[in-house]
Amino acid sequence: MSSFSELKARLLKPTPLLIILLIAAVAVARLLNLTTLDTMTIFMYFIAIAASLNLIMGFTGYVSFGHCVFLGIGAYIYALMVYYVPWANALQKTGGLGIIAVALIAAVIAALVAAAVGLAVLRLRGAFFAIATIGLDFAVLYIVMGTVPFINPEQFYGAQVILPSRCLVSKTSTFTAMFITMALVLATNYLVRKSRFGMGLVAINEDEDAAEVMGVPTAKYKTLAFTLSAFFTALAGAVFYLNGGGVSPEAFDLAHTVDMIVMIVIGGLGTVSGPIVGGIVYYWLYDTLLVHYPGVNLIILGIIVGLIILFAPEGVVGILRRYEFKGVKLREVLE
Amino acid sequence: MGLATFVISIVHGLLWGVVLGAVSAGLTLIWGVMKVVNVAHGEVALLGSYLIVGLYCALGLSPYIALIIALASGLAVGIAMYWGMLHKLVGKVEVMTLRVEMSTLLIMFAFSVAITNSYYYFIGSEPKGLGLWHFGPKSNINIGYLVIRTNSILACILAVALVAVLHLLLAKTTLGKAIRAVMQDAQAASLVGINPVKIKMQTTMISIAVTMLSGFLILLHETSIIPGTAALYTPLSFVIVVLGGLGNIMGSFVGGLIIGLVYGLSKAVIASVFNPLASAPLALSIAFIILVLTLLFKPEGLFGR
Repeated sequence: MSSFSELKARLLKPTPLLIILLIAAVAVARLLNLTTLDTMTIFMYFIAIAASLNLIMGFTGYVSFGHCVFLGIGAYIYALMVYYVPWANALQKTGGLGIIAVALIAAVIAALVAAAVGLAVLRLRGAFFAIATIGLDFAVLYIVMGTVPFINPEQFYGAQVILPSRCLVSKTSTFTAMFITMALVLATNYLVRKSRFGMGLVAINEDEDAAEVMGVPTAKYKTLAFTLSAFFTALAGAVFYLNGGGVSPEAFDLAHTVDMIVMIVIGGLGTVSGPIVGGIVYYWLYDTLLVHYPGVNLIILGIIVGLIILFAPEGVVGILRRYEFKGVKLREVLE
Repeated sequence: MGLATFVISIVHGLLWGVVLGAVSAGLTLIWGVMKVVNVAHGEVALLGSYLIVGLYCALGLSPYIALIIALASGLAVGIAMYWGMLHKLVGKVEVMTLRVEMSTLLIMFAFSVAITNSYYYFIGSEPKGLGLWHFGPKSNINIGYLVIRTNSILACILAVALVAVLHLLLAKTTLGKAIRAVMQDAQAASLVGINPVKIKMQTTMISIAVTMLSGFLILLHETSIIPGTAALYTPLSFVIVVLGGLGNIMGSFVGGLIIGLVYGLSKAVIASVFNPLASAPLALSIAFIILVLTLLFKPEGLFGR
């Protein structure tokens, strides 16, 4: 019985509670048909990619500007797979779990790429790492633009893979798949943060050399975090572009990295609840600004992020952590 | 691939390379001296281009006069950027930590998001250019099978002049010496009476002004610009600055030449062995592979000690 009460005590803390509430809220919204499926899928996609990037950028402090490369790789592999491989297409037609099964293949390939690249570029620190990821993104983008059109010149004009109706799935299935993706990445975030591995990552963020001396296998941990992060980014990207009905080189656009970085900066770097809070705030901002100020929305977002970096670098969660609530220091309960 | 194609691709590659080298000069300065990675570099350059186009089209000013106005406003924008964004993060910092470096990276990134979307919103995505304006009496020069636009030649001349002036400024003047001192060790520099805050502000001013001037070169070389032009020049500037070594003006100029040449030649080779339509993107991907390889194997740059 003690393990049950222990589990209860653990899950009732704000961060796991936030994860559970979010998942429940999306499920209820779906059951009651509160908004359109598309809205919810995009909302969950935002949280999923933010939480994916958080695994490397939030915990270790390595700013990866080129994470959209994994988004693009996942989306392209998925689209090409269902286009050319009959069983993959049949599998994705079976529903949300089928989509996840196919997307897992794409995500594993992206993760392998990330592991190979990570082993090399994670030796770099600070800005050099960030610039290397940008270079990687552009290298892959231009390779895709230079090769994909020639796989099938009539179908893939301008490197666009537009899925024909035989490859499309229902919006309900993509919703389910995105729901699973989001739940998986949030759970992973929480488990990583609580584990020895997560402690190691935070130690790397504090002082990498000191962590190395204290016996943290920094190279191994960084590569693992980078690979995990790429894996979930690719998973979310594959499902997102399937939902959109095809993929174009736009998938490699740094704008996706903007989304991810903006969300975790707003929410609070290095916290599990950060990407969730950031995702909700960002989606709300994105939605209202897009409706009321189309065109200016991204200008305003850029300014907001700039102000946050200057005046509140810890983000929303970071600010909350400074306060006490009914004698409980929020710092201790907000991961 | 015939000899003619070979010569043409070398000449055009070098013409672009010179422009790229000059465009990267401002970035290598601010990155090398202040460790501020200006992710909005291409966007700042386009600010200069748009200013010159605006003055030429709306007021009918000669581009040469517009260039001087661009220089003056570049200095002003530099001051504004320093006090508005950078001072709080790097002004008093003598030894850059990883965290400060990331903050500067993120703030420049936020700036680039805001400014790119401002271009889309206020100027629009249709191409803007100087129209039929050209340098010299004719718009093209023919040398055998080579056709070169005179504007490209002007871009080349101005690029070399810009880099030379910047190099002399850093190498010969007192200000240049102070800037190099701060680049090497801000703490030691302040011990000998140099005010690092002042030098950092002046570095930002020079860097932004030079970058805005180089926007004119982009304009001359590309004939017309769209907001998306920055999305090519920003990452290419990173390639060149890393290749040349941070803070090394001549290094980045040579880096620009190398990238221009590699781009021109690989484009011609890919066009002849694979497909002309695939040549431009694949040639660009080679430039970015060079960036990653340089960072991995020679992060101090080709000319680093």
